[in-house]
Amino acid sequence: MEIYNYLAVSTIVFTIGLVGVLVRRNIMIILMSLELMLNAINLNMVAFSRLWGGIVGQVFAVFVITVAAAEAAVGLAIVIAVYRHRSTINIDDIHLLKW
Amino acid sequence: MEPILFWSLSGLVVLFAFLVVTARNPVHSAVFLVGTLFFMAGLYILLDAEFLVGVQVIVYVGGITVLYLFVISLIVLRRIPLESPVTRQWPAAIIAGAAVLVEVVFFLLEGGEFFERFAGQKLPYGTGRAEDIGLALFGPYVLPFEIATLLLLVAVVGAVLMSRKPEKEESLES
Repeated sequence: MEIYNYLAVSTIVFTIGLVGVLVRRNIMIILMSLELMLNAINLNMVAFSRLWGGIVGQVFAVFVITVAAAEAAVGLAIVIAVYRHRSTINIDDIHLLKW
Repeated sequence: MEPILFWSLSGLVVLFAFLVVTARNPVHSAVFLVGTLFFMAGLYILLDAEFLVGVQVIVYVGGITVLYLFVISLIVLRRIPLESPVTRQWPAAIIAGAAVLVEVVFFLLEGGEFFERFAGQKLPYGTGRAEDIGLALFGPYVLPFEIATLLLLVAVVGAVLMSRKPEKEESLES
């Protein structure tokens, strides 16, 4: 299969994730959209790893998955802490640092 | 056979990604996210990244999405009103998404020769078996590997610290 098709799928999924981050107000779904974007990047790296005949892209994809796991754990802990204090997960109501 | 698999898998990936973003209920979003990640693993199979397929299914599908569902079940959903799908952020989001899409497509079209220049140059390690990935992780990439372990340690400690129940005086203040 032509490598550009994989890059196109990756671009589409990344754009969907970006629109999700910008549009949704529920912080859980924003974090899920972030996971979508990270996965699109992973697909990109694996496709280039295939095209260039090396394994570097796959190693970096493993690192991206590690960072995504850490990000999900810390982000969800923050969500729980915010929900304990404010009883909301709508980011329109969490505007302490907004001017 | 490969084109059929590729087009069906990528269509399913895009469809489920779209459903993740548009679903009103976060639980539905999490279930659609499982589908997206699973079919993405199918695309990895087509790209000969067998080890990554296992990592994707175990870590993402089995770990991260279950974590999401746990947190959703900790947060009582009935108290959270379902948000309406039409918000005032839609125009700005569509413009930003279209800008990124145009940008990336432009670079893909312009960078074609650059991509092909390195095509087929075999690097010292083979394709995506666990052995090759392990040799690369503990060979030239051992320093990023150690940094990743440190990051995971910090994330575990931070997650436990931030999500524990607040002390009594803290809760009185808030």
